[in-house]
This record gives sequence, C-alpha cells and structure tokens, in this order.
Amino acid sequence: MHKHVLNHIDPKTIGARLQEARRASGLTQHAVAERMKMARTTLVAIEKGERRVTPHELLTFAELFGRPVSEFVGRPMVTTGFVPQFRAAWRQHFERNADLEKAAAELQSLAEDYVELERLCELPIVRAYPPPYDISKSTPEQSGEEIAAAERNRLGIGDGPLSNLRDRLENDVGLRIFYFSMSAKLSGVFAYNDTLGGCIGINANHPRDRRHWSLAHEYGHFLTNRFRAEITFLTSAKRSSSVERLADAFAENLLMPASGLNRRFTEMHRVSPAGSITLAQICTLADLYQVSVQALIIRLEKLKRLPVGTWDRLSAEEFKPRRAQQMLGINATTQEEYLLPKRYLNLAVLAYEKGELSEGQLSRFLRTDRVSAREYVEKISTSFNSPAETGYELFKLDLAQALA
Amino acid sequence: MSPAQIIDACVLINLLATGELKSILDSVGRTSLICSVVREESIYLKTGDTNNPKELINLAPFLNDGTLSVCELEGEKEELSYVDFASVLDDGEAMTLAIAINRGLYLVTDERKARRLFSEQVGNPKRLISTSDLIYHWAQGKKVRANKLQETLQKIESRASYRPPTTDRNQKWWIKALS
Repeated sequence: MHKHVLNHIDPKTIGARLQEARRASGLTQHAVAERMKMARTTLVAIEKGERRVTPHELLTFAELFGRPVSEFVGRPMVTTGFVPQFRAAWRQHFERNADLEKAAAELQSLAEDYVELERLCELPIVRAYPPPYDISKSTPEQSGEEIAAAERNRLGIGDGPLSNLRDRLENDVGLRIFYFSMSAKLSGVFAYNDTLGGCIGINANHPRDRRHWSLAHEYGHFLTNRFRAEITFLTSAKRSSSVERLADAFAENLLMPASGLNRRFTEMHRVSPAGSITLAQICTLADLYQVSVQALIIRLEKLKRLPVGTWDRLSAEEFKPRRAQQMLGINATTQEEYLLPKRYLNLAVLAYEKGELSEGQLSRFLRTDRVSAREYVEKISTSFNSPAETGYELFKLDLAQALA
Repeated sequence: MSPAQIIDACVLINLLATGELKSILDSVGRTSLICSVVREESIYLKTGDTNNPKELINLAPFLNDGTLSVCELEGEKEELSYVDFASVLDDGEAMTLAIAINRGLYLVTDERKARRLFSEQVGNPKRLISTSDLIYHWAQGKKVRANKLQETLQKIESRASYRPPTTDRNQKWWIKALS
C-alpha cells in the first residue's frame, strides 16, 4: 500500500471522478462549493486536477455524493470514462433523462472493475475485434444483412439458431457484456475506448427474447461505429436513424439468417399434417431462435414465407404471444443466470483467493452482500469434491498455475 | 482497563448468525465497537427457507442495549489513515482498521488482507482477534456444553457460510467441536 495515497494518485484522476460523481448526483458546482464551504474556483481546480484534494475534503465529497471513499482512491487505473462519451453523443437526452446517466455510469463502473480484476490476476482479456465494417456503399438494411453474414462466417457459426450469443461474443470476440437493471424505456447501452475495450450493457429486467435482440443490436453498433457511445431505446420511434436501422437489420439477420430459417420453415411445412403452418409452430420456432413471436413473423413476411400484414392482422385480433407461449409450456421470461460475465466472476474469486481482494471488496465487485459473496466463493472456488472411501474429500487445485 | 475491541463486518456477521452475540461479547469483558460505515452496511443472513432465503439483520437492539457501540473517525490522523486504507480495502474495513491502529484497540477481523495490513503497521499479533478466538473464549469461559457449541458453530456455517481457514489457530478445535 502506498503511504498517503492522495500524494501518489494522479489528481486529475480523482478530479475527474469527483466531477462525474457530482454530475451523477445532479449537483451544480455552485451548490457543492457552498455545501463544502469553499470557493467555487477551488472546486473547479480540484475537478481539473490542478489542486490536490485533502483527506477531509474527500470524505466530505464522498458523503455529499453518496459514494464510497474507496471508489475515488481504490482504482489505480487512469482512464477517460464512458460517461463523457455518452454525454457528448447524447447531450439533449442526458439533460432530460437522469436514467441515461445512471446506465452509462454503471457500464463504466462494471467495465473498470473488470479491467481491475484482470490487472490483479494478471490475465488480460483476449480481443479478437474485426476492423470496423465499411457501411458507406449500401443502405442500412443491406449493410446489416451483409455484416451479419460476414460475422457468422468469421465466427464459424453456420446458419442455425444462436442460443449462446453471449458466450460467443465474450469468448470469441472479447467483448465485456453486463446485464443490469435500467429504466424500462432503455434496452441497452454500448461504449468503447482503447483501455476498457468494447462494452455492452443490457437491461436485465427485459424478457429473454428482448435481451437477446438487444445484445445482437448493440454488437451491430460495435461492428460499424464503435467510437460513438450508443443508447438503445425500447420504442421504435427513437430507433428510426440510419445507425439504429442498421443495428436492427444486423440483429435480425444475425439471429434469423435467411438460409437457415427458410430451411427450417420448409421442413416444418413439409411435415405439417394439414399442410399449413400453425401459430403454435411459429411460437415454437420463435423460442428456438430466442426471438419474439413478432420479430419472427415480421422476418418471415420479409422472406415471403408468410403473407405481408400477418403480424398486423394478428395484432388487430389481439393475439397475445406471451399467453400462447404459456399454453405451449414455453418460458420466455427467464432471468439471465449470470448478470456479470462468468469470466469476471471467476477472476473476482481468484483475486480474493490470492489475497488481492478483501471480502468487502469482493462483495462490491460481485454487486452482492457478504454472505452471498461467500456462497459464491464456495460454489466456484478451486475446491472440488472427489469420491473417497469416507464419502468425499475437498482438494485444492491451483487454476492459476502456469502450464506453458 | 483493557482497551476496547473494534469488530469488522465479516466477524459481526458470524456472531449475529449464532444468535448468541450478547453472550459471546459479554464473555470477553471489553467494550465492543463497530464503526459507522459497518453500522450502515446491509447485513444479510441465510434463513434456510427457499421462499425467503435471506434475512436483513437489524442491529438496533444490540446498539440500544449497549452490546455494541458505534464510533466515528476522530481527527486528521484517522481521516488520513482511513483514506489510505480505502485504497486497498472497502470503506468499512478501512475505517475499522484506521480506528483500531490509531487508538490502540483490539481488531476483530477474519479478513486476511486487513490482518496483514494491521500486522505490518502494529506488529502485535496479540491485538488481532478472529471469529474462532471469540467463540473459543466464550465456550471455555462460559463452559458451554458440547451440543450447544456444535449447534452454534453449525449456525455460523449454515447462516453465514463461514468456516475458519486451515491457517486459523483454532481450526482443528472448530472441526472437532463440530463433529
């Protein structure tokens, strides 16, 4: 531990974090300076990193912003966070909607924690990012289709349903994907910088099919326009820009590739006793592709496998996909099993077992209480059961040992 | 008079799980403190009920009857230590450590990192106390019956998911008392 951390840490890092915390708490410089009984120019100098903050001032700031002190001094990494990127790209929305700032700040916090865990364990993520795709020569819809085909080819995933998209993107591309609670109006957020890499946040409160679509959609942003922080709204009215249309077209083609879907649809038709496709079959097919019934029907309309206007007609007849799925025993409302990436969880436990994290820090990294953190360590720690004469025994395995 | 002891959240959880917090702390014969950040921490224990698996613990009864007292940082030196420790620990652990070191208190923690930092700064392992030390002292001092002790240790394991590590000086005693 550095003796007197405030003398060692870059004042610009603390200044930037204090500024972000102040903005997130909705306080002006004037209001904070008044509460701190300091001149506004002093606060400006602290936020710019031109004057070091004293321990007493830091404790008062932390209390005022409702943040832990460790959040300001516990991360050695120096980085420009995502929040300023979001604020620059979404200035008008940010001023009107505090939920956006919250989602952006959470994405940044999780991404910083992930990188910190990699630093503690000396295990950086392997990035296999393709160069950004050129989208200047085609319409958004054409680009979305072409890029989806290229990505399926690059990742070697054929043309079948993608039930493990998250694992693919985390393990084969090296993206950081988090599920957390957001305002119901938001589907997902995406941001990138060189230090933190490509990071995606998905609204954990949305149903499974929506989350799946949002993940593919945000990946589309990463592939085409990674230097712009993106926020995806649930309502289509806010998704009419060419950037959003492209990301939606990409998601549609990535999740439901024409060749595979056509083949399955033809097969379904062939074996159907009455020779026609039923709503139950469509619901089952949507479940297989982990997309909403609406998204599947619209896709089949575009592929000319269902008459144009089928979805509109069903909507007018007040068809309820969720009710139909329930009748078929399909549960499309399941929660995500892991809100944090599995690799992130494993790194946190490894860092704890190495003595790099305290129990309190582990709980904070895992976003849970201490007893739940203990349970998690017990569950995935390097202890395994093995049969023995007496029933079972525990043995320790060093997963960090070098093999080559 | 013996100095007070300051208890970190990791041990407090274990003691709360026993349902014998008052009896255990009374047996030590020292004032027991927790810092203000630990008081504000949400402490959950497992219930064993699948419908309601966690229970939020209310510390108020123990604060009202004087079993525990809350302490705050005092002076610039403690504030400076607190900020320094907060760079490597969480806020509750950092404040507990800062107060223990600066006031010459006993530190009650199982936390490996906090114990290491305390030993580096203080160099007196006699002022370091663990969950197992407190339970051992309680069992001996109050002549707790074997089945009662077993039940208490089982509660710590089942409600707080804690078992002392192999490096703990009372680990063998603990395992034996459980069997």
